[in-house]
Amino acid sequence: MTSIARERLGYVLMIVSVPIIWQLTVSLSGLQAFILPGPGIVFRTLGNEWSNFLYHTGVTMYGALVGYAFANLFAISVAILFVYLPSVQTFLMPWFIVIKNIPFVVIAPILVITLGTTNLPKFIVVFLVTFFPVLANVVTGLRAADQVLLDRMHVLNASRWQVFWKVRWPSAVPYYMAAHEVAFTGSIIAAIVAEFFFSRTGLGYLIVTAMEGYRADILYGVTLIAAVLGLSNYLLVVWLRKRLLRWQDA
Amino acid sequence: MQPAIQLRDLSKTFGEIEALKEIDLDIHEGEFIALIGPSGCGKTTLLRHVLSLETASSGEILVGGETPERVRREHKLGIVFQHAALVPSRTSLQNVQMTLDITRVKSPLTPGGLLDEFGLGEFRDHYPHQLSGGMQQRVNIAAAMVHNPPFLMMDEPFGALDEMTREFMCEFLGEVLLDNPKTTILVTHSIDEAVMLADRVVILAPRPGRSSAFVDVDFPRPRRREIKTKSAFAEKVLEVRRLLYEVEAL
Repeated sequence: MTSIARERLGYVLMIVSVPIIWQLTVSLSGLQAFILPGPGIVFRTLGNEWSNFLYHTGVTMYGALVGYAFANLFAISVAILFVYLPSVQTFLMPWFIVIKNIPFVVIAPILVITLGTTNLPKFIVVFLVTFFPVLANVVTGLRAADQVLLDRMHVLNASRWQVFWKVRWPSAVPYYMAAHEVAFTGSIIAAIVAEFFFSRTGLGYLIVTAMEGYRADILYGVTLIAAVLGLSNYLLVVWLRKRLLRWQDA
Repeated sequence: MQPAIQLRDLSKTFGEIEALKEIDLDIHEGEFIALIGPSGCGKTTLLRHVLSLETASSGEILVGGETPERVRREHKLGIVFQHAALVPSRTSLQNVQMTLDITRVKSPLTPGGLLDEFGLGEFRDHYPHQLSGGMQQRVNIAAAMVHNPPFLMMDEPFGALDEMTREFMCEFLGEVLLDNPKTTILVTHSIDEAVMLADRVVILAPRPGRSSAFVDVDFPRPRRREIKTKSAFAEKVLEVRRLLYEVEAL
């Protein structure tokens, strides 16, 4: 069996095992359905209310993606600035470290009372959670460019632009992809948590209302959706990385 | 005729440390110079001055009658380091092509043709990590020569290769330069290599680096490795070694 086939088999086994283990837990623990619903009940709820779930999933994804896109744009621009103007890094880095280390659950309510219940607080929370890993990795990657190659570029009188595209950026790509593996999934978590606080839509809102109404079936449904989203994001990044870094496996 | 490369009273200090002191050296057009000396004698530093990767503290360097900076801007320099300066995500052919993309020089040599000539025709679509050390170094030399620069600077190009590959590469380089004559400076630790390749061996004394002796090597070309079994070769090696020991004892 090839290693890829083996890897796929692992995922298939996992997906098959989840409902089995789940059902076993329900049967053996004897917990009531309003506390631990079985897979049957949860899948029925997901089926009956699929348009509702789909809508709220879409809202969360939208928030996560917009915030994440801005985080990437910002992080890459700043990373380039840092590499070419190290003094900027000296001034900005302490700010970023502080911002990164303030728990975002503390920032979210402040954003809501300042900006109101628009999408903006959600975008900002996602942004704050995800920009730093991207920034840190891209800076490291740009700096990891081979000094010998940089010397060769200098002797060939390459422009800054050429040095960037031909040497620095290719050196940063593997680091950038590694950042996605962490940060892309993080963007969904951040969006859901942001929705806890103020939103009238999104998976986070669904969780809050389900909790208030003791709807464990919905809670487990959202958990399943979140798991699928997280996993597909991760697999998407892995696939993208394989494509972009095809040369590594050549 | 004016020498192709002139070093006049070249001195370089890094802070307190005198790296090079009052070096005078004339190199003729098409001449092959081997720079040899104990480690820390400033061989690489000297080479980096010619490449305009360092600026002299005092004294003058003229390459083809011009400053190294100008010569660099005119794309007249080729460099080969010990560690191949190749972009890992580009194939052999793309790595060689990159030199032409950057310099935009109209060269009589083509990347494909040069790789064929270097015995790498079948490997043009291979990535650097798929090649052996000797092959990588040949791609590296092709990339350094494809824009047909009149000056070729090499810093221990074969230092990381095993003995057999080194011998092969020495023969190979000798032939390549016979077809494409260039004014060449080779920095090396290997006396064998110096005598095998050079028209003149320059021995540098350490701390501070200064030129202490010259040995002319007038064996006919092309030089095959069988030359190493001749007593004339052995005598030259001995002569260089003796001078080197004297220098180290200073």
